[in-house]
Amino acid sequence: MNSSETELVQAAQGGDTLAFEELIRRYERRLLQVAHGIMGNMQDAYDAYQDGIIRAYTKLDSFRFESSFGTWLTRIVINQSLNLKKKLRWSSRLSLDTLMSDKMEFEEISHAEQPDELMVRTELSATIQMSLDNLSDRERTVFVLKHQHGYKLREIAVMLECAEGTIKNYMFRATQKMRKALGAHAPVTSASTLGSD
Amino acid sequence: MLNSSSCKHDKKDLVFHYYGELNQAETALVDLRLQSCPACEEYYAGLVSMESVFPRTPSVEPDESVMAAIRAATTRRLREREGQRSHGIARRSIIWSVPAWARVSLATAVVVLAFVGGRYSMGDGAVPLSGGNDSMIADISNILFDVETGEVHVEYRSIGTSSVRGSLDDQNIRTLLNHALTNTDNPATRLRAVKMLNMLEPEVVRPDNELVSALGVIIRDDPNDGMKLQAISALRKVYGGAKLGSELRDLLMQILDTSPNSALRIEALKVLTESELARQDLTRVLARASRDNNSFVRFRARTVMNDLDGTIPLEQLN
Repeated sequence: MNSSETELVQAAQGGDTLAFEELIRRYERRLLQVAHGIMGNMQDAYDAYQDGIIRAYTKLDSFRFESSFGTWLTRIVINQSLNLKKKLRWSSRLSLDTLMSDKMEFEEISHAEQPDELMVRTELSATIQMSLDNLSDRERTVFVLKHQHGYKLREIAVMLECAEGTIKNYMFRATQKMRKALGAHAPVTSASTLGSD
Repeated sequence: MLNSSSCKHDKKDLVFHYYGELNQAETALVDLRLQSCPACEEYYAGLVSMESVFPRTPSVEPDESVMAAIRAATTRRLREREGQRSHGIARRSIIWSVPAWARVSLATAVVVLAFVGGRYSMGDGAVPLSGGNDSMIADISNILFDVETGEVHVEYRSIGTSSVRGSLDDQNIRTLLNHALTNTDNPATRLRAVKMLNMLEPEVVRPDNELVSALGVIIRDDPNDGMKLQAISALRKVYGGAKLGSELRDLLMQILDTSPNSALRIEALKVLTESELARQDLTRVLARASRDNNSFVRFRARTVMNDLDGTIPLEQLN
């Protein structure tokens, strides 16, 4: 954590709301994207994100500088997302979001995009979403954090408050399932084009 | 296809190699294995191919206008929270300055009032919104649609969190939906409300000027084309073939004329051709659509012309 961030955190802990807002601004986009990866749609992601921010604000005193502020904040938003997901699953009513595709909601539709291109893109997004829905909440969270956000597994272990070995198991199981589910949609890659990460 | 069952290598190493989680020595070992084991090579190719379908970047990139709206809504909730906290501290200070006997009496009075009040409180935590007045709504937190009963369930915050459930003919539901549609601070709630309208069968929705007007504002002013598209589509449900108001008709014609987004033009054309347009307006719409650079718009215009069975002379369309 750099000094200016430490100062901002300390100011926020002292009751400076503007300092807290400045901190949030640094991470807001990524937090929203993480929540979206877990929830699968932007409306629920937005709810989880906002609840997470409010929770972080009320729990600010409990931040002890043992991890980076970003990691701490991400952990809270992840927990809010997982809790909300559980709540929605227990709800007997169907959320609109599970019934309707939301692929275009917060994305600007490309002006050049033709309806057939839009259809292909929407279909592909639906396939990805269905594949992710087949993962357990923990598998999905770990997979999204690694595959889409590039966090190290040890960082994910800190965020989820789990042993690194457990996170590795989640990651492997999730990758196996995703590889199998998306395999039919992927173009054949020749051995000669393989490269390491 | 290679016989992968003959390969006894641990595939975990390949996954962690692909995701850059191995150290240098482990990476070198896996590299060697990839050169000598065709089954591992095939497995690894599967991982690489997955990336072309599911890119290794976040799947959404909210634009700045969306982020600004989210920021404003979050700030508002933070301010509310801050206000509640300082109010709570002040209230606690007052209470502790009161003598102990008075605190006991006060607590007893609160219990009695709560008991009596509780017996006569409304079920389901709903707060009636008198006369369609939405001034007491602070925020709408969720909108759900029950597919079995066709009822809408809206959770909202006023003094506390409440919820109300009912059909779209219910004035409370309409007031809350209108609030959600016009709430520029909360794009997610607005989108949820628009989508809810989109889910309904056209005949379910009784035409409502306020809802139509709110959708019109979204179509005209919202910076997000995705939101606009949903709003135009929702208009089809609200109107269901009825006559469009002149303002709305002009707005949709303007989209058909000037929007660079073909999806918006297609949806605008659908609403215009499904509504009761005056003959000269329909002619103008079809003339414009038949020259559109998008093949689907032209196709749609031709289909409508065929349905009209040549009642519009061709020269009027050119």
